[in-house]
Amino acid sequence: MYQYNAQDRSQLESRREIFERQIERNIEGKLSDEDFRPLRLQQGLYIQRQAPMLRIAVPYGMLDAKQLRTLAKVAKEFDKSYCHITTRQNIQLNWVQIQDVPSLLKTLAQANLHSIQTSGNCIRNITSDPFAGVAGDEIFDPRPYCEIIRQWSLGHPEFAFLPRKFKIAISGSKEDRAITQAHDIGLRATLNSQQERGFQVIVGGGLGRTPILGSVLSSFIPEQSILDYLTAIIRVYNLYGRRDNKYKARIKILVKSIGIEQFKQQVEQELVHIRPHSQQLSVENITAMMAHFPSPAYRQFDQTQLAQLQATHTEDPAFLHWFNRNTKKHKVHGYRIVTLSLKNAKAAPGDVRSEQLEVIADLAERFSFGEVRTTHQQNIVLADVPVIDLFDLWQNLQISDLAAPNIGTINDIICCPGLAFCSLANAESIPVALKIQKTFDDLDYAYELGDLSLNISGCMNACSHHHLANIGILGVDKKGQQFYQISLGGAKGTPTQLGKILGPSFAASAVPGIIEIIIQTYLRHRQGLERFIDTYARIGIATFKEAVYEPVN
Amino acid sequence: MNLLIKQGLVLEDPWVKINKAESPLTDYPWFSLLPLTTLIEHQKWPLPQAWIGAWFETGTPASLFTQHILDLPLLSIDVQDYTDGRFFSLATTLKRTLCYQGELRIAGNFLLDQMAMLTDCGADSFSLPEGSDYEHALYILNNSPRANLHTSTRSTPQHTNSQVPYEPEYTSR
Repeated sequence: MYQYNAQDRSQLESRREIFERQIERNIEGKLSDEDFRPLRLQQGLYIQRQAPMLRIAVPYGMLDAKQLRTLAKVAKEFDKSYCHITTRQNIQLNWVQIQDVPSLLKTLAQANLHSIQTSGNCIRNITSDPFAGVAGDEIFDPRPYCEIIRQWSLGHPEFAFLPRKFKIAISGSKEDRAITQAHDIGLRATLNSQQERGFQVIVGGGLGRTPILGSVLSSFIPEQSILDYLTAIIRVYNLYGRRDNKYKARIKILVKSIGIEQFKQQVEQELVHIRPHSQQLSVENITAMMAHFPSPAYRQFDQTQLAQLQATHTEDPAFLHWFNRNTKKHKVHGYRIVTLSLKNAKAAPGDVRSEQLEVIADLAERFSFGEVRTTHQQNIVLADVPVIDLFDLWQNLQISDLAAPNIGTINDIICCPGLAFCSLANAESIPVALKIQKTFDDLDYAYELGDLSLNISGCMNACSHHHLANIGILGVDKKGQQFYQISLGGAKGTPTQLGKILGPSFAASAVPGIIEIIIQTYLRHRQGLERFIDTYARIGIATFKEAVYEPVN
Repeated sequence: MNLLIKQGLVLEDPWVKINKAESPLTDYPWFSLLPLTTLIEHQKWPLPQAWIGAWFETGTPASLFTQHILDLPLLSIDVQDYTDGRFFSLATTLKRTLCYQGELRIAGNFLLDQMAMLTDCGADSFSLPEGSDYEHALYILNNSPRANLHTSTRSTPQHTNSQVPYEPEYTSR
């Protein structure tokens, strides 16, 4: 993965010193809370319900073992010995003290970690496919471009006070595991007829109160032109995006109100202005960046030995479950992509304890070239595990509660912090998640249900992407009471689609029962091993509505 | 009196801002900073005074900057609300798209902490209200990391003597 050079480190150091001074000025009363707010938000520091929250950037989800150990350390020293993986691949500390932030940031900086641009109305952390570089369906590795855009967007002078936050996702594969259509800008790797690399540009996607899937702005821009293209789009947004109402300030509202064609015209006009000062990348720039993401030194394995091993281990049904659910095909024969599950009914989805982080760091070094990736599903991926080591790895993961064989099942719940921590939330989300996980804690049952996504958001801001879940749950406030609205039929990937609201909302206590009815309805109509989303597509929402709201006695 | 920060120095500001021009434009003395809205209505160019500037608000469209305006020695963006970041793009547009050669100034309600970024967008000077913490302003200007607008100089893993294809234009100032 990309290693910081002296310039990256000095830049980080200067920003850290400036922020330290801003905190001091705020404490001394020289900088008002109001004026401090946008500055601290751009440094990922929120003042939350219980305590300040600090969000640490994980650029396109990549972390190395040293960084994991540093995160374990800061969580232990400055928080309650755990942290939380967000749906944008970042890491949150929910219980920090503001006066500790300078020394916390200093510790993070030693491992080239920081919290810059994880909040605020600026270009946020770039997200990508957690299987980048190892997926079999990859057109090309998106990470060099992620890093180019990371460097370009970090401290971008023109785009730090946009109408609203700005999220960019980049996918290099046929299957869109980065949900590019749900981002302000999504870039999807593509080749033109001359087999030259470039990107399809999708603009104006987003969830929140007004969920909209992005529209295609250009079907192909050459890889060299990405910075110019991004500059043009974001400048048009900065100049013409709404600022009078923060709920209408995202780029999706601008694109929707003027239409994609007119938006495209404005971007093209801006591109003409940019041309004399172009930031066109050279082939050498891109090649040099690619050298930061070399293929690791993969080993060659004896095929018969592999086959034998697989045969012995798959005799263990528990291992087989885990193998089938939590490991995926790797582009190199003899390797698998392994997802460590951070979902069990013992802790909030996506929470990881310091000692688990240390174990993951050790296992990454032992089995996966010392690197891991965070996922927007709030899990952790070891991308390069030799098949011959899988059994050994699995046994180690079990000891640390990281081997739940539930990836992609109903128990792999994506969940925001909700009312427990977040000052935006209307309702609790974690207790609802835990109750549902307990309802479906029979692993064989969850396993038989197959692929089924269930996401829970504590408010309209939709941090858990509930619109894109097969079963989405949204916490709403009804005259001071917490209620939950359920939507069905959302999906992410290929294709990405928004769910439909089932009907009137339910009290928290009713939710697990309603989910159970939805699942029973699915099973009653399921043909063969059909996935939930396919049954839903076939029978439609009406059947589910009837089962939930008009039960026949 | 407002303080002026320009080229790393704290100076007294020779310019006088005229909020509303009520006399004929030709009557104003040198170093008058007049509203852009009045200047664009003016017919007879050039003005007899060599040193006249224009001030305008954050949301001013770029199309209003005709050549007469761009020939003025001072253009000053009057920021009303520092969270309305259009002035960053307006500054960039003036300096880069419209190639404005004179002094681009930022005045009004901006944050001292925004000054380094504004410099990277092309601002040449800053007008600070009386009582501002100019030491902090200078600290921000001198200690902020410069923008990374070109990745070309930084993307090579081993530092080679490869030719840098693009000068980082924003940072050469």
